[in-house]
Amino acid sequence: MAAQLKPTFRQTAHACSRCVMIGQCLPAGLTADELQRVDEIVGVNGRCSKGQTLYEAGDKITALYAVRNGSFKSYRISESGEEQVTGFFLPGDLLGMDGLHKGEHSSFAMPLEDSVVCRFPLDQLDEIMGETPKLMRKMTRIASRELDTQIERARNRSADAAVAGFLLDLRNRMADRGFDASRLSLKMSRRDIGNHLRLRIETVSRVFSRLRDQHVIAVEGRDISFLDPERLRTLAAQD
Amino acid sequence: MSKTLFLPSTPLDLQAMRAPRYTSYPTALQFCEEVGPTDAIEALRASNDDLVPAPLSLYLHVPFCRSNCFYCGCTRTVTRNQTIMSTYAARLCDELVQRAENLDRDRRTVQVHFGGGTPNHLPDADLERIVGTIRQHYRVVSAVDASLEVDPRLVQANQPAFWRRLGFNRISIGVQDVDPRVQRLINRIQPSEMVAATVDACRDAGFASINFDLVYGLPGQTLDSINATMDFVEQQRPDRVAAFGYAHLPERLPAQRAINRAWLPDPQARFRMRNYIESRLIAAGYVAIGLDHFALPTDTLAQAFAEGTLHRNFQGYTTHAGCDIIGFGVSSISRVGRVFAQNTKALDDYASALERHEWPIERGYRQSDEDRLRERVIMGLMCHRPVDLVNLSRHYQLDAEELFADALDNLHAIAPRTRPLTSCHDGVLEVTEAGRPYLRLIAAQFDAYLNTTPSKSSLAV
Repeated sequence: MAAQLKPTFRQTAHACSRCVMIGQCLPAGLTADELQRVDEIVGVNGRCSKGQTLYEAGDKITALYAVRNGSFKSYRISESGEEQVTGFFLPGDLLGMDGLHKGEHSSFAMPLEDSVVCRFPLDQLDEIMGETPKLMRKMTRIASRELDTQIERARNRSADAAVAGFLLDLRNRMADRGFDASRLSLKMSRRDIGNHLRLRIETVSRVFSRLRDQHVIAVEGRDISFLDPERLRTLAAQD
Repeated sequence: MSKTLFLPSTPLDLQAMRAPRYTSYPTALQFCEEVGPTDAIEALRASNDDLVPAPLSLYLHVPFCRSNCFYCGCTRTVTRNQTIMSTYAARLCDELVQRAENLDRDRRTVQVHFGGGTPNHLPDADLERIVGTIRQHYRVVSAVDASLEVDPRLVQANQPAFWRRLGFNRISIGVQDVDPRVQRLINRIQPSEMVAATVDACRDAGFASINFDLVYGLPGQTLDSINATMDFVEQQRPDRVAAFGYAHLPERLPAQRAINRAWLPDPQARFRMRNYIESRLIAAGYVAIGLDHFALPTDTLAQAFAEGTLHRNFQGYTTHAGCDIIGFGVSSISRVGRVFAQNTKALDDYASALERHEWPIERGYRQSDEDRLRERVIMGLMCHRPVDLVNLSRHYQLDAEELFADALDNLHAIAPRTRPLTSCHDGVLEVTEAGRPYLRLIAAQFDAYLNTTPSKSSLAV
């Protein structure tokens, strides 16, 4: 089991209202007053080290966490002890949604690199959501998007379609966050990608090689350049 | 292709004689003991996680020779003890198996090279055993580039066919010089008939590429003796020729103390010899690749050169770019990602490390971003590729123009007045025809470590 070191958080004025990620994060679109309420409850600067879980499956949920810097993977451990990657989280994404309905975390959250998270304590968040319908709507949208992604992942599709879809999704999410979407540096390994897409690592690499040879992408180490996004879209839509 | 012969007469030529061969950047002189097995293992594991993990190039060092050639600077022991050699072969197999445990099963091995010492001094059964271990634990592609270095004095008539059966498709024969007097002075007596017989046997067995290793600057060598050697080379027509300048470093290499400095050709003579070798080979239809390699146009090395896919590894020029190199055996060097690692040179330490299931690394190096940038420039220049400084700046987030301002100024300053050594248009740096003989000196301008180790490098030509 990975070591767990709980990060400490601090309060600060204007935590969300002056955050660069606000456009992507939970409090997006709130008024100044509404934001002030959120600023009061959120804990910032939670430092997480690569390789140390933020929370573990079975932990009681006391808070949701927004990724501020860096990236995470969520995973579950099967009966036989095998890790099953369930998702990847980028800045602005919310960790912990999948366990909300039962009050305890359903998966483990592990940073792929040294990362920083913000903490939304659940009971206080509940209170604010009661007063702020916009926040509730945002939570619903986040849950809906996650549901959609997981259903798409479960679809029967070729390895090419799965990898293309994965890359496109990442690319879109990075573009939404204002990053240069023409090149990405992937923090997740081919092992994590294969696990997530339910492909063997050999297959993942074969697909990446094929995409590279066809000049759809350029690959070097973990760096990807998108040379032909149209082609990628076509591949992702296929069976 | 280069048809210019330059006449060694200027101070520049003397400067050129200090530069390293750049089989890596930084050179092995920068390796330190702080980088060890943990770093190398971590690098291997990280390479497994790449989206498309690099293919593998395996190097195996066989440090045994039957007799002592005075000029040799390689890590080797003179022995005829079969038990010692077989025990070492078993250790090599252990190391191969242990290393495979750090590699994902789908990593493809595209190149295998046995160097030394004298790889064909190993008993046949041991060579077969090592190759068998490689095939069992590594995923060797069918088009693998598999080569070995051989001493023609030890080649039995049936061995080339045996090596082909094991899967070798390239071979390198140590020729040095055919003059009997030179051979006596270096204790490497091998009649050219012997070499010719080896070449014939290799051709009959179907080797795709035969390389001759020549050395100039040896004791007793003259342009006449080189002339005879080149007649022989022309007659035998190997696919590749590598011509190395003898590096006289008796303080570091005890075997060389048998060579009197007074018998060595002076630096000007070395230049003339190198030029002469090149002119004979070019006249015979070989392509000059860098300073020390030549290949027939039909050979894959010449083709890689023409296609711009030429690369450099610890053995010199190679057709296989972008590999992770894993070295096995004493003194061998590995390169995985940004980490260089060199195995210990001591047989005892090598064996005991393996017994502890440890990678027998003695020293190594971890490249910084700036090292990587300089490597791209130096290797690009050494491999005759135009170097796009603007692109590299962007990629490594460093200001190449600022970093290399001095280097580019130096290149202007040292060039003969009417013949610049390099050109730089729109941030793309290239070596000119006039600059080709000074390739290593040009590359040296971009070496951040050169001033710290001035006298350890061998003569550049």
